[in-house]
Amino acid sequence: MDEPMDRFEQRLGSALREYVERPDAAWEPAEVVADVTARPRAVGRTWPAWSMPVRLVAAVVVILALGLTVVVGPRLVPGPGSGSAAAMAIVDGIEYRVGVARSLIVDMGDLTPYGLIESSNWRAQIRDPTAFSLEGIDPLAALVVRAAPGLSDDFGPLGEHLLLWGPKDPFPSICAYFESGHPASPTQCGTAVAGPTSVRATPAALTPPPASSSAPPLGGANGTPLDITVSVNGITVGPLPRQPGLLAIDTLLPGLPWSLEVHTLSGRVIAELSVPTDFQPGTYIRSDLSCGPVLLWVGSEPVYGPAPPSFGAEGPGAPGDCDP
Amino acid sequence: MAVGMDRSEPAPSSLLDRVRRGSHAAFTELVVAHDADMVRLCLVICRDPELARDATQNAWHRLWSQPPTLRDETRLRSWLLTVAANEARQQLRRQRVGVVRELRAGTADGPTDPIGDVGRLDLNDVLARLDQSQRELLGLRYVLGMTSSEIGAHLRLSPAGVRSRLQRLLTRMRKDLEHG
Repeated sequence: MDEPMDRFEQRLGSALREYVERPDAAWEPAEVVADVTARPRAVGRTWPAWSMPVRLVAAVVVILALGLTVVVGPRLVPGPGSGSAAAMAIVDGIEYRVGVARSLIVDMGDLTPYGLIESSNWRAQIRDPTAFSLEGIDPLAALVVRAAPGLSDDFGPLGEHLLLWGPKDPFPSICAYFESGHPASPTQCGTAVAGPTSVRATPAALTPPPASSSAPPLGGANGTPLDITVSVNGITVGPLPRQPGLLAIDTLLPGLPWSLEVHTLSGRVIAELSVPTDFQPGTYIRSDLSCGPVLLWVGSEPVYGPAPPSFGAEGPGAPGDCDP
Repeated sequence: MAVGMDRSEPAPSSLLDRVRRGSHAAFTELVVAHDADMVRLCLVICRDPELARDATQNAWHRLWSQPPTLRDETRLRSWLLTVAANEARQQLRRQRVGVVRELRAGTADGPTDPIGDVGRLDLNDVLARLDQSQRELLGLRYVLGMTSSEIGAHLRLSPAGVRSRLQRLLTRMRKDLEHG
C-alpha cells in the first residue's frame, strides 16, 4: 500500500530519481551478463583430507562454547556496587542519571561527541566514556553513550545505547528518537503502552484523580504470582499484571507530588514510594518478595543497583510476604 | 516436449534454479528485471556512476557465482538489493570519493518557498552529508518507492523504526535547506 508523502518528500523523490538516471551507469543487459559470466564462477570449497581432524576439533570447540553460552546465559547487568543506588554519570561537571533506552533509534549521524564521562558508578556497563549529544536535543537534557555489548537485565537486552538523563526536560523533542508504539518508549511521547502490554485504568469505582499533563510516566513490573494494583495518592490507577516485562501505566495521573503504593488484592501494601516534584527520572522502588520481585518506576525505565534475581526465581523475601 | 506443459512465465524460483545450473538466458531475465533498481540504489549510496556500476556488477557476479538458497524465493529482489548495497559500501571503503559534482536538479519554485529548494539543491552535496545507511534509506524509499513495511523487511527494522528514521532524516534535510 502506498504511504502518503508530503510536498517536500515528493520534491525530494523527484530530485533523487532524476539524480540516479545516469546513462553512464546503465548498461545493456547483454553487457552485464557478458561481463559477469566472463569472470570465473566460484566452485564449492574443497577441503584437503588432512584437515578433517582440525575441522572436527574446531566444531567441538564451537559447540562447547555455544553450550556454555546457553548454560551461563546472557550477562546480567551487575550493579554499581553499593546497595541499590541509582546509576549515574558525571559529564562536564553535570550529574546525569543513566537510563535504559531499549526503543531508542539512533544512527551515528545523529550523534555528536559532547564530552567524556568523568565518573560513573556504571562505568563497566558503558562501552566507552564518550558521551554524545543528539541532534536537536539540549545536552543538558539528555546525552547518549554506547552500552557495553551483551548486557541484559530481567526485561531483556539493554540495547546498543544508554541514555543519560540530565537536569533539563528532554520532552517532547527526544520523542523523535524513540520507536513509535514500542512499549518501552516513554509515555510522555504519547506512543507507548499500546495493545496487550498496556495497563488501563480500573473502572471508575473511585473518583479518578485530576489529570495533569505534567504527570511523569509511571510503570512497573510484577514478577510474582500475586494480583496487585497500583495507587497514586490513595486512588487506584491500575493493576500490574503478572508478567516479567516492564509496563507503563497508561491512565490519567495527577500532578506531582505522588504517594505511590503497590497493594495486594486484600489491600496489603507491599511497596511504597514518595515522588517529589523535583524527582529524578528513573526513580524506582523494588520489593523482592519470596515469590518474586515487584518494581515500580517513575519518569523512565530504571537502571538497577545490584543485579536483581530473575523473575520466576525464588526471591529473598520473608515467609508469608506473598499472601494475597 | 511434454504435452500440457505449463507455459506460464517462469517463477523467480525456477529462474534461480536455472541460474544455478548455469543458464545465461535465466540470468539475463533477472538482469532485465532488477539491474536498473540495483544501479539506482548503488548510485544513491556511492554518488559515483562508476562505483555504482562496479558494485552492481559485483552483486550480479555473486548471484552468478554463488546463487543463494532462499527459503522464500520471492525475496530474491530484496537479496539482490542487499548485496548491491553492501557492495556499494565496499566500493566506498576501497575508494574514497573526493569528487564533488555540481548537480542541480529541477527548477526553483521561488525564493520564499523552502520546499522548492529541494529542486535546486546541490543534491550530491546534501547526500554527502549523510552516512551510507541514511542514503540507502532514501534510495529505498524515494527512488525505489518502497513502503516502510517493505523497507523494514529489507533492513530488518520495524516499520515504525523505519518511519522514525525517515522522519529524522527529512527533518535534518529540511533544516539543511533552510540554513543553506
